[in-house]
Amino acid sequence: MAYNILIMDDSQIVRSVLKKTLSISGLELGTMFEASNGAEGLEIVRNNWIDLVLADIHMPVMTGLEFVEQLSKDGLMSSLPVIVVSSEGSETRIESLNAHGVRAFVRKPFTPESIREVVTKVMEKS
Amino acid sequence: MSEDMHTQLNKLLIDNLAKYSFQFAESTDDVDNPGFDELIVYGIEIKERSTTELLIAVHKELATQIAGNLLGETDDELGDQEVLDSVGEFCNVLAGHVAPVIYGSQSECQLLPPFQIPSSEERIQKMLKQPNTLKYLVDYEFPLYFSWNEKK
Repeated sequence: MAYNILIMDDSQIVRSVLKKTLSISGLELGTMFEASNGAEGLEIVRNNWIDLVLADIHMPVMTGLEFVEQLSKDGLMSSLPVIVVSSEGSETRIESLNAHGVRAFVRKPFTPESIREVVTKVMEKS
Repeated sequence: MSEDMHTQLNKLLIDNLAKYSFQFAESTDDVDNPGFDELIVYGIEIKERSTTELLIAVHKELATQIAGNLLGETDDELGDQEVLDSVGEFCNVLAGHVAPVIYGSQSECQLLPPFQIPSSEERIQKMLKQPNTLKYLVDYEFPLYFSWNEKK
């Protein structure tokens, strides 16, 4: 099964790195969507079949946490795995993300191996 | 800057440089100030109970290497904007690691987007000369400067 993945980060560079990493991950990939904030991400999720979201926390317009909260309201958090990729590693923040149903957290700087491992683990459980 | 914080920030910088494939980053005061037009400077603000501004200045050639290592591309494949954005992202990553050192691991800091600063600005010239600015030679030749200050 090929996975459609949404990459959500306000940095074009980070989106490029994540796309490259996924493309060499060995995962069977369908379409890779990109969004530069949570609002754009929601629009994509509502109009396309998405299997996995890789999301940043701090983004203009709508943050990653606000995106996740909105997904919960829409009843999508249980069926759509979200992995947060961020430079931040505050314990409080990670606890809060976990409480909102975020499946995994990857701290920057990441390696292709760390992304591949986390994505594979999350998708195997889904 | 307390000795303990100085040590922690120094370790953090060297660790992060290693993750960007720079194994040879030496903390040293023995850095010849490069011309300002040879530096790319980025700042980022960390907001918590106060606001701290981090400044990072890197030699242009080091900036290109950071971009190359991040994107897996060779120098001639990289555009100018990709190089600048890569330094901004490096600054963002550092800020994410520096924030808990300054405000504690339980803090919920907000990182604002990194922004480029002209290297000719007076405060950058001052930053390069400040004794508490951390200075490095990366791969034995490329200067990198790092400083932080609490904004009033």
